[in-house]
This record gives sequence, C-alpha cells and structure tokens, in this order.
Amino acid sequence: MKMSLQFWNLKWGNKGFIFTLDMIIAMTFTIIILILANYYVRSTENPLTKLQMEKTGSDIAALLDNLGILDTLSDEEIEEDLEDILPVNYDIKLSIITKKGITLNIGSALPDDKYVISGKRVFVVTQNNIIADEAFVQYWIWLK
Amino acid sequence: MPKSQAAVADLFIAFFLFIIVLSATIYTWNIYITRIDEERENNEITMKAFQAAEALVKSQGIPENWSLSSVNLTGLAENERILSFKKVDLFVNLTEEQIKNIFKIQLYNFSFVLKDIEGNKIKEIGSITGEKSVNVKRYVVYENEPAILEFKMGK
Repeated sequence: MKMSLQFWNLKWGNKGFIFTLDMIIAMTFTIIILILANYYVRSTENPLTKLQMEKTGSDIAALLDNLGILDTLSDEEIEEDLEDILPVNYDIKLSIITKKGITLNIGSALPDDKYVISGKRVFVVTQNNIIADEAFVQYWIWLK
Repeated sequence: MPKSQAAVADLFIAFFLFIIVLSATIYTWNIYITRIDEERENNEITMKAFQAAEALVKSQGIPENWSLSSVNLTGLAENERILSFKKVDLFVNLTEEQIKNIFKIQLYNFSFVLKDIEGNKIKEIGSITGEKSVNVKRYVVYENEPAILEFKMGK
C-alpha cells in the first residue's frame, strides 16, 4: 500500500492527482456526449429527397392514368411508356388489379436495401369511351 | 506549506481543464445553433416550394377563371395534374412580384420552368440567385403530352 502511494513520488502526496483524475474522467464523458450529439445532429436526413420521391411516384401514376396509358391494360405498352416518363435516377414497380380480375405486374423487383415509398391510385378503365372496368394501381418507387 | 501548494496546483489543472471543456461546449453549442437555424430555413424553403408547386399542378386557382388583373391564387390545372394552356400562358405573363405575393414568398427568389419530357423548355419565368435553393419537380400533362414542371426557390 505504502509502495503504491509513493509510486508517483509527489511531494504533496496523491490527493490532488485523484481530484484531477476525476476531472479527466468527467471531461472524457463530456467530450463523448458532445461527439455523439454532433453525430446525431449531422446525420439528420434531408426531407426533400423523400418528399420528392413521394410526389414523383404519385405524379407518375396520375400521368399514366391521365394519358390513358393504364386503360390499355397491356404490360408491354405500360412498361414502354413508363421508361420514357420515369426519371433516370428512379426505379418503379407497378401492380394493377382490376375488378374483373386482371392482374399486371410491371417494372423492377423490389430492393431489400433501399428506402421504398408506396402509394395507390384508383382509376376507371375506359375503352372506346365506355367504362370497361374499375381498377387500382399500386406503385413502389425508390432511388436507383 | 506543501499542502497549500498542492491545492493551488490542483486548482490550476482543474481550472485549465474546465476552460478547455467550457470552450469546447461553447464552440459546439454555436455550431448546433447555426445548423439548427440552417435546417429550419431549409425546411421552410422546401415546404414553401412544395406548397407552391402543389397549388400550381392541382388547383385551378382562385377564382377558377383568374386573370392577370384578378387573381388570389394561381393554379394552372384544368384537372388534377393536367395543366391548362391558357393558365400557363397567363402565369408566365404575371410579374415576379405578383407571383411572390400570391405564394407569400417575398423573401425568396423563384424560378418556374415548364419542360417537355426530353428537357426542352416550353415556358419559364423568374430566376434564382443566392446560395440556398430547392428544386421541386412535378410530372404533369400539358397539351396531351407528359411534361415536367420545375419550381425552384432560393435565398
């Protein structure tokens, strides 16, 4: 015991050092908290990206409906038009189900590792100016 | 005598460390305040830009048959996300100040660009200056063709 007290060889003993050690521990904790807080403040996501993605998905579904592309109920035709309309940095999957039982799945497979936004739009299938069916299109959109 | 020396040395060390921690805290605090202010401002610009773009593509405007002399809200739609040729034409003939007053964005610059799907400009008004800007893109139908409405806002 006596050996360890004399280890630091301070002429005023080790009391002052213990007090400073407390301070160093407190300071270390404070700095860790500041660094963690800084990390969390810095990593706040930009809300614009998600909002823009949500609006793009909704707009694309509305556009396909308004241009009468969905009325064709042809997966090839819808996919072809979708390629022209969809912005290059986005990928999309569409699932169309009509009341009469027609089901279409168009676009890429859903990714496991990306943030995906989904939405649904109800529409009326009009062919030759006659309401032929009722349907909904569900879309999933994500950044490539 | 040695005991009082120890206490003073200890005080100096503690005070020195305290000053370091205090300086770091004040510095970090100031950074946080700046970042929070920037984020608040960015969110405000983003929300205003999205609200303006939403009104333009979904609303017919107030009154519905608004004109250059009587307009409370400029909506460009004849149906949801289908733009009216006449209203787009009227909109680009409004002054920038009129548009800013309508959307209550007097503190910001804005630019409105309507492009075809290949990126060729069809109509535009306004210009963006300054460091911060937000660009909102909406996909619409214009003259039976797909088009892109870009509403940029900046400060």
